[in-house]
Amino acid sequence: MSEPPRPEEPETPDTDSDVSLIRWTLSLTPRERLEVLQNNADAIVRLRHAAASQR
Amino acid sequence: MPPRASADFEGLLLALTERGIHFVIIGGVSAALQGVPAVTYDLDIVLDPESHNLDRAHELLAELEACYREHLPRRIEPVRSDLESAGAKLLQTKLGPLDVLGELGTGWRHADLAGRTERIELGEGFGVDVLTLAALIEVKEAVGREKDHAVLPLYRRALRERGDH
Repeated sequence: MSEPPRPEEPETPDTDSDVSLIRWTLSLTPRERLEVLQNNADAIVRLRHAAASQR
Repeated sequence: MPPRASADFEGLLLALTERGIHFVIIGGVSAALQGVPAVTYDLDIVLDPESHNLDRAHELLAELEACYREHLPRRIEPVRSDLESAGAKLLQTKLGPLDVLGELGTGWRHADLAGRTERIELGEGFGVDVLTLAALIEVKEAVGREKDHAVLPLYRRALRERGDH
């Protein structure tokens, strides 16, 4: 699986969506998309726990 | 040990499919599997309400030590008849959060999802049915919560990029 692209300016004025990220995600297989989702969700949970423990 | 804050998505999906439970994935996992770079922490599903299917689902929920999230740390387990109701059952399992919905924001129940699902293969003999991106957008538009509206541009753009709208 390749690395996700760097953010770039939106191509259309009607959305702030990161088009390059959508295209990268679409280039993955469903299984790889599930893996990306799992990694992102777990990473955010870890960051939240770390932030909470420093309060 | 505290409950898992994010679902073990593959673990839950495997557990459901291995037991022959019929369900449709809705929500963020459905969007992510169809190429939307969305993040979610729970798995949302609609069960086929066929009686034996609900029996199998209830047995699995017991195995997964499911209980209602809103009552934690009190453990209130879902009973079989809960699975027949239209309401959302927001459960915590040992594989993380699992939301079992009887009805979507559009009023659609499982029977209404025919023609609005897509089969996605995650491996050999490991396929799941997801609510299509176009239908997910309809649901989010109908629900109208702020968090649903916030992701609509991303969903619509992904649908356009897929070229299947």
